[in-house]
Amino acid sequence: MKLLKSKKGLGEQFNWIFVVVAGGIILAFLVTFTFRYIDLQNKKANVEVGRTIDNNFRLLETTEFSLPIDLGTENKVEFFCLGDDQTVRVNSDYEQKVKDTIIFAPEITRGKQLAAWIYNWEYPYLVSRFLYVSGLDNKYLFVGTTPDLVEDIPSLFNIEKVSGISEAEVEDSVKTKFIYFEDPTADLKTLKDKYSKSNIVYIDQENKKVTFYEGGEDKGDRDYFGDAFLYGAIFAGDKSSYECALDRAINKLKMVSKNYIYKTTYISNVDRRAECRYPLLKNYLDKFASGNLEKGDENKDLLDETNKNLYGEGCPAVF
Amino acid sequence: MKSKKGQMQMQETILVVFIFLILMIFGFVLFFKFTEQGILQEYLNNEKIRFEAMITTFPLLPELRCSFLSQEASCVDSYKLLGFKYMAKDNNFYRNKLGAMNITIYSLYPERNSKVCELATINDCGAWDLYNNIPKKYKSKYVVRSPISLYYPDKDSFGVGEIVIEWYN
Repeated sequence: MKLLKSKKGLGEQFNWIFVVVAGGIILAFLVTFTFRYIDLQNKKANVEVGRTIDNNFRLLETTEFSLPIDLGTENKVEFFCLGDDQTVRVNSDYEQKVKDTIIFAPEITRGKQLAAWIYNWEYPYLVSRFLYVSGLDNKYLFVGTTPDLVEDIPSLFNIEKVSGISEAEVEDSVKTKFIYFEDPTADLKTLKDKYSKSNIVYIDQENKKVTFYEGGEDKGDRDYFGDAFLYGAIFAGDKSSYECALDRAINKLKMVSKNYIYKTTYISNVDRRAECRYPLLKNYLDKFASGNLEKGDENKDLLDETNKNLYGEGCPAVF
Repeated sequence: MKSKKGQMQMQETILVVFIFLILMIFGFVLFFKFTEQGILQEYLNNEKIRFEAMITTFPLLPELRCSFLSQEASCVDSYKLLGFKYMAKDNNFYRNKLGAMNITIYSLYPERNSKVCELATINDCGAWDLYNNIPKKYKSKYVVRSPISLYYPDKDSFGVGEIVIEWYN
């Protein structure tokens, strides 16, 4: 009787253990399933956001001038350099290479909407299209006197002009950028104390240089080549992202110039008149084709002038 | 006798739970496989959409597009096409950007000319094999074609052509 009772107790115990183990396994499966399901759905959503961004970039390349990109939900969009390519990464997951256009954008943007604007880089011929991208809540604060070309920036971007830094009423955030067209040295201490997270860029139009400051520290300067780069310096996240776009643009300039060298050679074989000064044009093209941008603006003007002269002499123009 | 019946019942329960678990795992695996396949298909669709859009974006490349005193026009320059062909062959710049593709432009009007354009035949040709990178092995091939306006700088005249882009996946 005692043995039978102990056997029954043992059976009940075993029953409970069995229920706990089997239930645990089923529960673990359900939890794993839920997490994996969420993960997969997020992946799917990221692909869709990537597609939305890509479709809008293409619209800009073909028909539009500027547009807001509606992402639907709050997303983290990163723009970064990977070798010779720029890549867009959505929510640290889905990556998409940007093949031909050159992007100037903050490295990380979080939000439901992006603002995008396209602008041709002509030097003096069309070299590439520059895409300027930013979050709608990223603030661009122009301090002091600003040139007229700032007026051409679409109103889509959050832009404000103030005559001095004391007038600025913005929060200290990575989303705030101060843009100076006059030497900012006098304001640097205030900026460092009050806006340590914000970035600052100084565009020296006289010497065609842009200087980047991060956390009030001078990160060095780089050249710029035309208005398209000037806008690029405004929208680039920092010095390294500006340099990435600059390097890509110079590579593109090399390619386009090489192609014009081929065209110049073919035309000069067909039209051998002495007044058609194709060798001169070729010399200027050679400079850009080798990536030599020293006195770039001067060479650009000479190229433009020589091409117009060719046309004026009745010779086929090259570009 | 009672204990044996209980044991049998217990074994049955274990078997049922075991089969249930197996079915559940099988269901999960299938579900995730299908979902993952769906996401891969989305990736592929994205790539396909990008490829199809190339028919409008590729002729807009500054390396191909005509310009008249720095003003861009809606045509491709036949001399630039030849330059592009040699550049695409000589360096990896375009290979990295375009990948496994084959891009050709044919002239259709005022005359069909199937001669491949080279330096020697530049003034009497009608087929520009701009870019050629066909992989030895590929799963599928997509083709898009579109009419295109051609500009001949030597004759200062225009013609009609067709651009054919093949993408190998």
